[in-house]
Amino acid sequence: MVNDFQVEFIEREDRRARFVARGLTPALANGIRRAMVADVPTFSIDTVRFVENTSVMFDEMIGLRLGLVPLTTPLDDFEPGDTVTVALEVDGPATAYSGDIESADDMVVPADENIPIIELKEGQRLEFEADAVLGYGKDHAKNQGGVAVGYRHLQRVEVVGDAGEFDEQEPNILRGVIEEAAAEHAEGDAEDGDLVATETFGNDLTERYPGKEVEVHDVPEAFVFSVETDGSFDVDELVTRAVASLGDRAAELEEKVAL
Amino acid sequence: MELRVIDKTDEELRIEIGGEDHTFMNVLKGELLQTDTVTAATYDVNPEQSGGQTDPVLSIKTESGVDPLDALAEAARGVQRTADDFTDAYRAGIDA
Amino acid sequence: MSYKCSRCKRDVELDEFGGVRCPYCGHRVLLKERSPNVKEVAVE
Repeated sequence: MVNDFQVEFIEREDRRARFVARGLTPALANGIRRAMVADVPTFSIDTVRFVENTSVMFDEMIGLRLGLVPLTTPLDDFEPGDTVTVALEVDGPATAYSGDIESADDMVVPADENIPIIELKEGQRLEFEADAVLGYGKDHAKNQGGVAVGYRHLQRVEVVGDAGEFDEQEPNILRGVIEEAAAEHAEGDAEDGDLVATETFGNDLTERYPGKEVEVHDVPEAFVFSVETDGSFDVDELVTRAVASLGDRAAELEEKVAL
Repeated sequence: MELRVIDKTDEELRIEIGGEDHTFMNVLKGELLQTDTVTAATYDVNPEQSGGQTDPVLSIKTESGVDPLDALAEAARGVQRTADDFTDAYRAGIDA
Repeated sequence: MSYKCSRCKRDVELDEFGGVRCPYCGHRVLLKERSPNVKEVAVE
């Protein structure tokens, strides 16, 4: 089978992106989505050794918060199961932030410095050493690199006629991305084939095509992916690693079938 | 990934693929269904009365003269190609 | 067993004969201090 994939970005930042992918089967789209959530490993604090905790929270509660702090994860340099030691020492009165966590490895550090862990009052103190382990999202949600990953169909809006002249036009709400198919009726500059995020016209088709009767259809084999990472790595890394994990499993299967 | 053949005839195969879930199985099934020589392909992650079996069981039926194991190997190669092609398309999208 | 008196804040060693009472100030409210050992917690 010959694949003819096409990827076009609508927005692309370090931690979030939206892109239209064409030529995919629903099975592949869902496989990629699931792999992004569960099969791309990230570092996360796993075992905490509390030296002192005179804060108002139990060790276990602080441990859970620490587990959820995203740590930068250079996947080229580590294998799943690898460990990096981190430590924190804060005396009250102060708030312990994720940025106070010191790491033994400069490549594995908190992705954000401003996540509050706990507020310490006068005389309270938090000191611990912890092991961050490279683990998979399917084993624990703290290891999920993709935190808001999903897709929907690309939609094509066609103008089929005029709305009744004396009818009050109801809002026609649509969310996602549309492929322009009626540029001559659209407000503003538009060309057929443009990819337009519905936010740009308030998610309301009557704003873009005033006084028109429209029909909305899914574009076959085209998916609008919306991907956001927790900061462990950028979106490109997440997507390519997720796809590679599918390929790696297929390679393993091929090898084992041959035996 | 541990494979265990449950049933095998000239045109039919039932095989357990240990340690995998819907993520990979559905992609693999999709690839198999797009192969001309495969007449039927499906998988079940929790077959009825399986006594708690949770590893997916893949079933393949092929046209006569085609070994289902060969069809499976071909589909596995197909998924690898698909993954590579998608990665290339994604990179091309970045550069565009 | 080591405790801390909640009134005079002194460390108190209790044995089985003395009853629950601070030997320095007679206060009957004693607080159990956290063990100085390092405690290992698994993040679940």
